[in-house]
Amino acid sequence: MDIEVAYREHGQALLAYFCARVQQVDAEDLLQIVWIAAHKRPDSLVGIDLRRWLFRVAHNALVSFLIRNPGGGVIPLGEVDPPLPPQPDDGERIAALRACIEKLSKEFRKVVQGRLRGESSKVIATQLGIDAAKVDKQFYMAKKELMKCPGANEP
Amino acid sequence: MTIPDDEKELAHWLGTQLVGQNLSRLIAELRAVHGDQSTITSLEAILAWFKLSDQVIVALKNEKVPESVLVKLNPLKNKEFSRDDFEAEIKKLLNADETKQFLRLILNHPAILGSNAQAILESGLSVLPRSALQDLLRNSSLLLELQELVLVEGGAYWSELPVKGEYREALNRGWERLSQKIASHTQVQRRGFLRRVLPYALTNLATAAAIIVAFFTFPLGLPQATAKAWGWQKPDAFPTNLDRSSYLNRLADEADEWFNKRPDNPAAAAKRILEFRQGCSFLLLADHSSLTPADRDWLKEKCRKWSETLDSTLVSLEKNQDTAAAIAAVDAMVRNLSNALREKAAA
Repeated sequence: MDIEVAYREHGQALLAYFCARVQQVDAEDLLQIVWIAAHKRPDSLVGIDLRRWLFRVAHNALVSFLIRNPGGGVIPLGEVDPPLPPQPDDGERIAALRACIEKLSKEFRKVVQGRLRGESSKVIATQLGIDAAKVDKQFYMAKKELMKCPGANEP
Repeated sequence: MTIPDDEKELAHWLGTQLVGQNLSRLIAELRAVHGDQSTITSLEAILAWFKLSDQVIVALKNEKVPESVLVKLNPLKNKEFSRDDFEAEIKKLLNADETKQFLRLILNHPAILGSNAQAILESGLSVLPRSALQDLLRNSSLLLELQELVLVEGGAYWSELPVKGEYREALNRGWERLSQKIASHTQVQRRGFLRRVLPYALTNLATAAAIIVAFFTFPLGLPQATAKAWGWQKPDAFPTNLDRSSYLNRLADEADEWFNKRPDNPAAAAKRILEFRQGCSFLLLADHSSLTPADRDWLKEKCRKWSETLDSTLVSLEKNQDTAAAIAAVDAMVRNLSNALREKAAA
């Protein structure tokens, strides 16, 4: 197995997996652990479903990391995994965003909530008794306002 | 907050979020807006569709659902619905009594359920009805489960979704680090090989010469360290002929060689830190025959911590490009480790 070819093929998916669950700096470290494990046993990886194997190693590395760093996870992994508290940084980000959303006018807030529920402008417009173009404009303005919120632009 | 204004782009946008670097941010935003009020606890429930197939109709007949009810349900036959839509359609077709009596039986029938999972893996989230996308946004922690599904099992659609530039930077950075580690790992393996083979080979000097020539000339195809070795990277860094105390002091002296060079730019600092980190790997994997088992455990435990400090310093350096801060962090660590080794030697 050519480790660089495999890294280029599967590295992005593994990084996305880790980045959604831990901070980026930890995600990059965990990515190293997976590939070192692959490097140590290249022969036994020939002929198997490599991606599935890599993700199994990734999952186990993540669980070990979260056991060692109980506050390091973003969101609990599910029923089979130990329950984990939300990451403090993300807790702060959520709180900051909530505070910013609270500062929006009631109508703007409803528009944001509707759009982030995946509702169409038409549906939101009917609920609020305004026209759809106004919903689009309000969402655009609310978004602009919320982008100023602390943490909104951080990865 | 990058959710598209155009609702038709929602499925594609959500797909790119799943394979992108900022899914945790999206989940945080959705939680901030909707709170933690998950109403659906499994991804299967969102991906499921309901279909009143011929097989289900026969099964319902066997469970004593009257023919008159089944006839009323005919317009739904072989069509696919989300759970909510299916329930609403049934309520439209049956009267209140029939609904009360048979709705649960129909909805809970095992053969009625199908799944969009396979179609999603092949063609993305656009196969989902809008209500299912909305369920995902409202139950954002299920996005992690869906992400794992598409990353592990997803077809060409998912691997071809565009990703942002910073992702590629992180991957390139990761490959740089990984190739360094692979190089040091290979070097350690080669040292171990020599240690195992030499005692036998020395019974035949010609064989020994051949092995040594091969060791230093055979191309392995992996990058090799070319800089002059220092500290724990040196071939004689871990001598076997010293007593415990001298050995620990020797390790401390070798660690202090860190101070012999003072890098003045991020690239030189990264190189120097990586060399130290490589030395830590050698130290972790060496025999330390002069030490007691307790000393060896202590040393390896300490070394693992030093390695972590070096790794995190390197990551900070790569991120912030602050040479002075990185050098100061390693200086402090080396001073501490040198003192610890010398104190241990004196104990």
